[in-house]
Amino acid sequence: MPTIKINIAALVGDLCITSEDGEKVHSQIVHALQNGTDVEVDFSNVSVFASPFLNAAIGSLLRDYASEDLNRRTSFLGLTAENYALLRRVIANAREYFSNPRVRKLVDATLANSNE
Amino acid sequence: MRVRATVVDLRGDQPRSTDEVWVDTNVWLVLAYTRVPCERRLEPYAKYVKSLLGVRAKLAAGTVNIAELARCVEFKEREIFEAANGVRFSSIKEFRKSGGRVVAAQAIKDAWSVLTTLATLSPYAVQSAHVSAAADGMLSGDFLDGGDAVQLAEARQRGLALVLSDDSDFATVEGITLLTANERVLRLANEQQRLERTRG
Repeated sequence: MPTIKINIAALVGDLCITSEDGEKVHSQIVHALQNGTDVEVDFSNVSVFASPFLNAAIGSLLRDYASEDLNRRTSFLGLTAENYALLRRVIANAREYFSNPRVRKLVDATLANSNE
Repeated sequence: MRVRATVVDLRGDQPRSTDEVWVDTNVWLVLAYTRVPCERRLEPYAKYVKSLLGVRAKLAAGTVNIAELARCVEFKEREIFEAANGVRFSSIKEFRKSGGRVVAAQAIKDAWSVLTTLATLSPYAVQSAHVSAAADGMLSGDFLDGGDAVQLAEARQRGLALVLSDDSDFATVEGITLLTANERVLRLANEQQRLERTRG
């Protein structure tokens, strides 16, 4: 199967923080997968990660794809061992989020009262 | 609520390289907790933090943030563990003796890792004078809870007056500039002539 490499730093810069940037990455990955292309997501030269980016870019893939499919068709490059483990936990959390309505309800309420 | 802080809508603010901004725990929770949902209301904080780091401004945090973040994450992980496994713990201590402890500890470690990557941690222990000032603030019209008051004491000890928070309570503190996207706070600040469109 053909493979495309998505360079995160080239696409959104080295500060991977916002959901907006994560959605750009998400769109590129989904576009490739829908076209039958496997994806290498290259995080080389990314200096910081934050949760909104990781959940929008990668976690939200679990809404439409089974984790087995993602494991088979996507790979992640350029990550430290610590950040790779962090990413795997984002994926595991997302799998639980999209498969368990009770968990989803609790997670969605996490920030509900954070401003008061 | 009487607004005593200077309030700035962060969505129109241009960060400067010289900025050093104290970041409240609710913003750290958005940035650092791996289970946090993609919530539009809070995206401006992530964008603003990106803008700050983009100009090489500094984000500041202290021991209170680290402790509060852990408490929030553990609380949520307990709820999720209970829901996912159909169990109910009588106390947080009971939860810590369960299999959920490892999951919660890992989530806390992840959150701390993100925080410490992004922030400059306060090198100071809070001095008694600042703790005393924090208590005086609570008695004189600040609506902060104890944790926020100590955060503020730590920020002031570092000479910081810029606070990034979604918490309306910080708007009641005199002598700080609150950077926020909280619509209620912005409306109240505007009504009370405490809203600045741009920082002077």
